[in-house]
Amino acid sequence: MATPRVLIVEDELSLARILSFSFQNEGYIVARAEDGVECMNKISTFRPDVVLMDLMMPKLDGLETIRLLRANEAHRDLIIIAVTAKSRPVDRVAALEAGADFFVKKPFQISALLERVGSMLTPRGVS
Amino acid sequence: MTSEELDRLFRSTTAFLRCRDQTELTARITGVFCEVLGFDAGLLRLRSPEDDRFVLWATTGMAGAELEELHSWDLDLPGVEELLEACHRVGWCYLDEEAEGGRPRLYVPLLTSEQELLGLVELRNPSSGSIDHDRLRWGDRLAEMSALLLEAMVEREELAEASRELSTAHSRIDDLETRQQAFLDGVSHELRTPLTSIQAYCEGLLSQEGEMDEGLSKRFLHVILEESRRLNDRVEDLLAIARGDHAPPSSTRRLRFDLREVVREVHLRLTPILEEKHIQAVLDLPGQPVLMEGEREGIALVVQELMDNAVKFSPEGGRVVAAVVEDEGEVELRVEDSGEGIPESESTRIFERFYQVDGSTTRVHGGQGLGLSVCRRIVEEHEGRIWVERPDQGGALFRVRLPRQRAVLRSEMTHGVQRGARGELLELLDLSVAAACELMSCGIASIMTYDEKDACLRVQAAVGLSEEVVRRTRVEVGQGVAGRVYESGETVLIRDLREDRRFPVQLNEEQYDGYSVLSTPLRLEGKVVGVLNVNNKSAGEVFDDDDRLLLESLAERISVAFAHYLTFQKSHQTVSKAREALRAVVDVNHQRRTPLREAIVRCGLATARRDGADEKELRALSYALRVYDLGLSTLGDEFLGRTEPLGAGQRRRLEEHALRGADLSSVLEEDRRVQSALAHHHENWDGSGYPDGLAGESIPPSARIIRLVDCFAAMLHGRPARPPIDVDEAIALVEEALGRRFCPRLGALFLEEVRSRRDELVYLCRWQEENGPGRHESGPQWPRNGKLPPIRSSLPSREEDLIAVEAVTSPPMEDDS
Repeated sequence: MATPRVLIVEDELSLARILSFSFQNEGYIVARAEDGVECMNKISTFRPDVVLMDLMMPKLDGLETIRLLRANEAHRDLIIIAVTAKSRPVDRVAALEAGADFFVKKPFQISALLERVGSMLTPRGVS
Repeated sequence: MTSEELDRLFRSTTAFLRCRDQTELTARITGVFCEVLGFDAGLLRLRSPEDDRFVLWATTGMAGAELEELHSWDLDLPGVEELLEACHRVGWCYLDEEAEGGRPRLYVPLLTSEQELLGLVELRNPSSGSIDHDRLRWGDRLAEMSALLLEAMVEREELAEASRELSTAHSRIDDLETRQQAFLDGVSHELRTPLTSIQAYCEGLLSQEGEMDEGLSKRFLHVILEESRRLNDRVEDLLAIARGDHAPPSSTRRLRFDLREVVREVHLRLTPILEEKHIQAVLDLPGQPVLMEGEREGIALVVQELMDNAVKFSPEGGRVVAAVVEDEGEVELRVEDSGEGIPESESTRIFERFYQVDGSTTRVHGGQGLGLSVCRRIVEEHEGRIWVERPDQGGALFRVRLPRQRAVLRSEMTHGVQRGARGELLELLDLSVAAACELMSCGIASIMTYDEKDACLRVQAAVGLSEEVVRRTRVEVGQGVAGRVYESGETVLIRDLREDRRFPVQLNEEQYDGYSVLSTPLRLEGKVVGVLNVNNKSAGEVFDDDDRLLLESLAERISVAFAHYLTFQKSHQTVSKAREALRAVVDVNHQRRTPLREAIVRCGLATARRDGADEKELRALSYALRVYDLGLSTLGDEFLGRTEPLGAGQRRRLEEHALRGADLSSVLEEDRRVQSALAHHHENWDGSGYPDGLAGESIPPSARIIRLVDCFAAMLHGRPARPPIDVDEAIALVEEALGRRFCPRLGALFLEEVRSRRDELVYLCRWQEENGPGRHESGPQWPRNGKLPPIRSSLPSREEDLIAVEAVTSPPMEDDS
């Protein structure tokens, strides 16, 4: 399959940088957005396979952004990973209901995240 | 009664039950009474529980003048009783056969189950022209039922009210819970995000072990460090919130500091992100120090928070302006961004604790969900205000106003204090302790006076002590350090309290970093009225005899200021001059004091001592050496940091500054000693100086010593047009100018002193060069926290030759000041 592309939507610069560093190291093509609005602006030009979405962001928050993405047929196959410090079950449910594929709680292990993303991409790559 | 009548009665009364409120019910009752008892008109008055008046609630069959008349007056309880007494009682009803116009009226009292009068039904105009006595018996039943229903209705309304309140409370709790959850979400975000970064960067380092280039791994480590700091800051914020809720703010420690300095520090910290986002930061700060007193860390947090937000909300390439403005008694910080602004509806709520802009997951304040509420708390603790301006427009402007100084003051001085002039007194006390801190380079200063009510010494004004300590401290006369000083009238100098047998250690560890204490009496008309104490000398140093001289010297001047104050009525002008002088003392020290200058000043003092000056002269000199440039504060900014030559007018004004300084300080002097030293510190031995062109021995010795100290300090610190020169060079220059600019005898003594402390001076020059802010900047140059590293035994010598040729040919001092 083609080199997988990841869009990291995270307003915390240092976290966004290390995420992008780690994904690049694994061979992904990476782009970054600081908030939901920027994510929506970049989504059609960058055309990512995976979006890493922080839920608490200025301007347009993560849940809303996920809903907007899912409302568009073009992004049906996009893998959306919600990242948040909130950890109550209702938050998890809200993220999944909005259309996230899975939910990662901060703090998380990058290696585990990479593995998870990798495994989600592989079957599709095969099919 | 016919069956139709009964049927009508039944229908009427069941209608009672459908009434929704008291108005409807009273109208219905009035109607039923008329119908059942056979009257064409009726009315109902209810007793109001507040004032026992009988208020008209309902009428039926009445109009025009009759109705108007009814509305124009209420009955009171005695009125009702009088009315009924005049009647003839028929069962439950009261009949007035001879009412107005001979037409009978019927009154039916309504009683509660406790037999209290609840209301009164009045019926007029019998339908058949006369009373149908047969019908009156129904009156009892109707009255009973009506009263019962009315009582029930009141209860029902009370219940409904309670239930409304309950549901409001409930929704408030709901709201609070929502906000609390939002708050918790904010907290976990604030704490977990830096934690996630730290974890991720560590992982990055580990996974790349050995392969990563050193620069990159170093950058990773920096991020980890930075994020750890941030995490710590967040925890501090949370603790601050907790503290704000559970403990009085008095546990915080207040220091004097320059607000400009804080803004500059924060700006420096933000540089990387400013560069990254290409944001232009404009600092609009006054040229003079903006001194305020407060919790420095707290205020720094406020500045940081506001500037952080401003950066966060400004677009790439935007602009952030941070300004400090000073006016009467207050300082103002303004932070302006070029973002989208804040909606009007949010402009006060953003400062609330649990508030997040839409209660869900959008964080308004970028990096910090709690920031502004913390800011507000800190500002309010400082008795200041914070708000945002220009809501609904782009470019939010946050403004913070803080009182410049907040002296810890408890009550008035012991005697002779007029009412109404309290503000002046507070300011004098406040300035006095501030001046003590500045002059003595110490962190704590306090003035205690005798409190007749408590028969002990209490703290009247303090810098560096918590309000709690100020409130609590009571010292009996003859006890402790201050008590002994008060009793004996002698200064006490304690080098190390732990080792001083005279006084058992009783200092609060938290407040005092050092164990050296200096305490001197304050006198009015020769009588001891209070004590001036200083502790916590900078750098954990120990107070010595030179410090004692200086403190005594200052105490004399504070006493003079207070003597002026006590004759306040006589001369208001003198008090304000005293205040101005004290303020100038604070400012001139804050701007100019450096460890290096202090060392040179001590050489000057030692010179006078070697020359055989007596105690009184030494005291005056020790003070004059710190304030000789008082007059500079009267010059405008045009002279500061100036490099081009002065015009004739400017030159004259500059020359006048010595006289102005002497004039400014005169209000605090009892004799002319200090004044003449200040006036003549620019005179040269050969008569070529100013303002009077005095020569030789006619120049007061203290002025000659100040001349030496001033020139020497100027050479070692450098001037706007000249880099500093080194100690040996300066010694050579002074030596060369003996007999021309300087007094040969005192100059030689001074140089001996300087030579004996050469190593220390060389070290301090180096320190000054490395740690002092730019030489051209006027600003506090005393090390923050007062921590000066110890002098190393092997001193590296300066390699480069800093001295400029013209500095040798024309020694510094004449054309720039």
